[in-house]
Amino acid sequence: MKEENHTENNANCQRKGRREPSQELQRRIDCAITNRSHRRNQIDDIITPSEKNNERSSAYGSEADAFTRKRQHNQSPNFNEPGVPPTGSQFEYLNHPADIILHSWGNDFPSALGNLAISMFGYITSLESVFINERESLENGGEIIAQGHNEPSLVYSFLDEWLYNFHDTGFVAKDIRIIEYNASLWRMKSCGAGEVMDLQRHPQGAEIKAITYSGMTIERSEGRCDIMVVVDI
Amino acid sequence: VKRNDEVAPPNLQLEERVSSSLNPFKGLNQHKSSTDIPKPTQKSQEEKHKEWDSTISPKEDKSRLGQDTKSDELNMLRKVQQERLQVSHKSIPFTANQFERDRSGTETQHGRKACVHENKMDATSDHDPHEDDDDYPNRHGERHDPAGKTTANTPTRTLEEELTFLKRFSPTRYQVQIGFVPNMKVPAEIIVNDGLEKLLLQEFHDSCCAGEGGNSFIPALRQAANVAALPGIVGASLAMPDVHSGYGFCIGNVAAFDMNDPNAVISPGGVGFDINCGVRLIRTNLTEKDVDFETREKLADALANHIPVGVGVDGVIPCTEEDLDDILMNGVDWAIRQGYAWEEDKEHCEENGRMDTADSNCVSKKAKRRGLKQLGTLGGGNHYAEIQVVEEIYHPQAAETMGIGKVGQVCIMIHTGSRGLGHQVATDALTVMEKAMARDHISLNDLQLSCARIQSREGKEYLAGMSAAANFAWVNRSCITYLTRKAFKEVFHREPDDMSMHLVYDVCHNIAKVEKHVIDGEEKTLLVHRKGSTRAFPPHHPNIPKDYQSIGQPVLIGGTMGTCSYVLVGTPKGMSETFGSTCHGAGRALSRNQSRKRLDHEEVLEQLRKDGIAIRVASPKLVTEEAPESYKNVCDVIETCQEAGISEKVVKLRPIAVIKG
Repeated sequence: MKEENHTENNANCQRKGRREPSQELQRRIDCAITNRSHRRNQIDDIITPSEKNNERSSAYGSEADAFTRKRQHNQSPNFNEPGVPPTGSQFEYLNHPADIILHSWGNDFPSALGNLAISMFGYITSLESVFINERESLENGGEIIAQGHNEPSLVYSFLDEWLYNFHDTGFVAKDIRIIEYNASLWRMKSCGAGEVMDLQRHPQGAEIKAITYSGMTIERSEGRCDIMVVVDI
Repeated sequence: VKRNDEVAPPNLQLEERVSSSLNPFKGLNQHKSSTDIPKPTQKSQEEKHKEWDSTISPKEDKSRLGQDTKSDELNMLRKVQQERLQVSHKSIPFTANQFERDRSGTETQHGRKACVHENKMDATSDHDPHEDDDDYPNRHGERHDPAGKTTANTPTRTLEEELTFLKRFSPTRYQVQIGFVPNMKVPAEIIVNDGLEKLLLQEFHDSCCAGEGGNSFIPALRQAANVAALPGIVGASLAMPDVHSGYGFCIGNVAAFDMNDPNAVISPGGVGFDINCGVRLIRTNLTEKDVDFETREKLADALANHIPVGVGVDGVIPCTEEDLDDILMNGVDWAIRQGYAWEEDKEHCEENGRMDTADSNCVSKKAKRRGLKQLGTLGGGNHYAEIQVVEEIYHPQAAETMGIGKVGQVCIMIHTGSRGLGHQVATDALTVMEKAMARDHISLNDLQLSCARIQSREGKEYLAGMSAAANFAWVNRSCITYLTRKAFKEVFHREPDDMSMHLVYDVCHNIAKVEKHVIDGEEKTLLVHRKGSTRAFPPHHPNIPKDYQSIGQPVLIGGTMGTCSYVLVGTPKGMSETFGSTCHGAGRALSRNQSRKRLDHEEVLEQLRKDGIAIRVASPKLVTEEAPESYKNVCDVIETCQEAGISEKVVKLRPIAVIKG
């Protein structure tokens, strides 16, 4: 018999006194876990050899949305990956040793900033898979106010507000418009068009932890403005 | 440019707003096609250098900071409130061209206005920074700017001249001498062997020749030196073998500040955005024979069902606001009371799973909202839950004491942090400290080294908020432990107790702690910042569990996805030389973009399957960013620590199942 070390001996003595979460908590947790497993079986998050995919494909019912079905078959439907800008975007992602640099541009500072926030969402999920839901946009992205005490802090605050809004409501903005911009007070009000992230349809990209001031660059030239920001992943 | 567009005011019912003509999103249910503004042309190296050299005049910066007086802020807030209350139908232009004033900085030589915000922020800019610095070497006749206008980040020295400041003291110790950057109070010491030294110098060389996209980063060597310039630092600014460039502090940086020095500072950058990101190891009495291929797949599925991973996913553990306050104040004690953690888990956790300096009032509402839904989640990036088996034992006695003394024994390793709550606490602190720095006249080489005096209000609030976030992280890991035990119970149909699923140890590698260390024969109370570095206390230290007094504190080093992890123990040499710290893992070798280009996610996953590893990932296409090839070799890092004597290998673990976000 294997020689037990003393932590195992302790365990044997304490087994009877083991505390468990209350019945109600356990019920809620089990329910949440069951929901998760059902959702996971619908969305094919599992990359396995193709035989397994074929098995699964026969289980799809007609209720499955065409969009979702394509994803489930791993046929990569017509949307970009998270982290690859769709064609016609006014942003790109640049190399960084550990994280990612968001680089956006626009006619002027407010529009470049709007594009910067869109680029952030472009890394969280695939923008092409996001459709515009008017109701959700008004409810969750109708008014985002950013306030800074100088230009870089305004950029920081703007991105941070949109990121916080995403973590709070799940709202992903595909298009952002600046409603108000007060340059002397460094205040900007914006609204976004998009929808709440739904794991059935939107692929999970990277989780952006926070915005950083590292290497933040705001460049202006005739008719355009470029902004570069590093985000922590 | 559209003007005179109106937006439905927020006080109407949502449905009315949607259907009203003042809905800015009406009819926008097609993909947006934007006008094609071309990408910027690639600038030449010289142009990039010149732009990097140009700075905002320090005086201008100072005047901007001075504008933020309290009354200004109050007036601003009042105006904001008034605007919100007004039910105004006046037209709001879509773009605000007429409001935009040119607020840019000085013009560069190319007529472009550029603001580069990684400048030296010095409230006393007119004074020569080298005046008081007796150690600043002028012997080489370097081309430095005595007026201090040039940034510390911009080398006016050649690469060879820079390298003269770097001296090797031993096969594993490397010193960056005082004078490498202005205001260094202590040297910076890096623990690297030859191979890792090459990578470090390569990074340094790359950054000197300006990075891609016009955005260069500060190399780890310079960052370690910048940290050595912070007020109140004691000993040396240390860097572990897995060092690489980060924000302000490099990843792998250890810096200790004297708590009794009124000038000493606390810095959120020295802790990291993911407060108390750490690793825990759970043992079992199962062996590899009990987990054949089919069981592995079942286990991986069960774990993936139980533990939410990835972005946009809520936790399964119910948590109310009262619960959250309790968690922030009491840490793992809450988890034990609720039944998620076992009582003995607490003893095998750093700080017993609870930092007494925590205060939930110092955590903002925003941070609490982020944390509420994320309890018991893993997150994304390099976080994971892995089922591993013991592959090799180097220190049988220590392995036996920890309960993992059998080759083939199954263990579970969990790597996660304080999730959105910690990120938000760090973000909030950065904003607050920016203002405090100007007030307290703290001069820095790098704006990212945002900090505040430990004794100031901001410093104390950050310490309290950080401790609360750390408590949250321990509870997060405890909840995931509970879910893991539950998953194993489901698959094996045995109680977790019967499978002896005890916690071996839980370490943090992103935290700042108040500790007692002996410096020059005198015991001092220091605030030790560890960013990407793990505490490694020696045998017989009072702060380590009773069970492990004879062997020292276990240190858990997670490998990258699919590669081996290690368990080490702390040593007395580490205690005296590195404030009882050691490495935390492997640093990145390839950037995310590079990984994506060079590697194919299908191949990466296929390789893992071939190695017999069951894998579940939330974002398969981003798997390339976390592939083993994207990271340095963790074995090199561990061997260097062993050679330097700061920690000792105990056990090597090989993964058999991986869950990632």
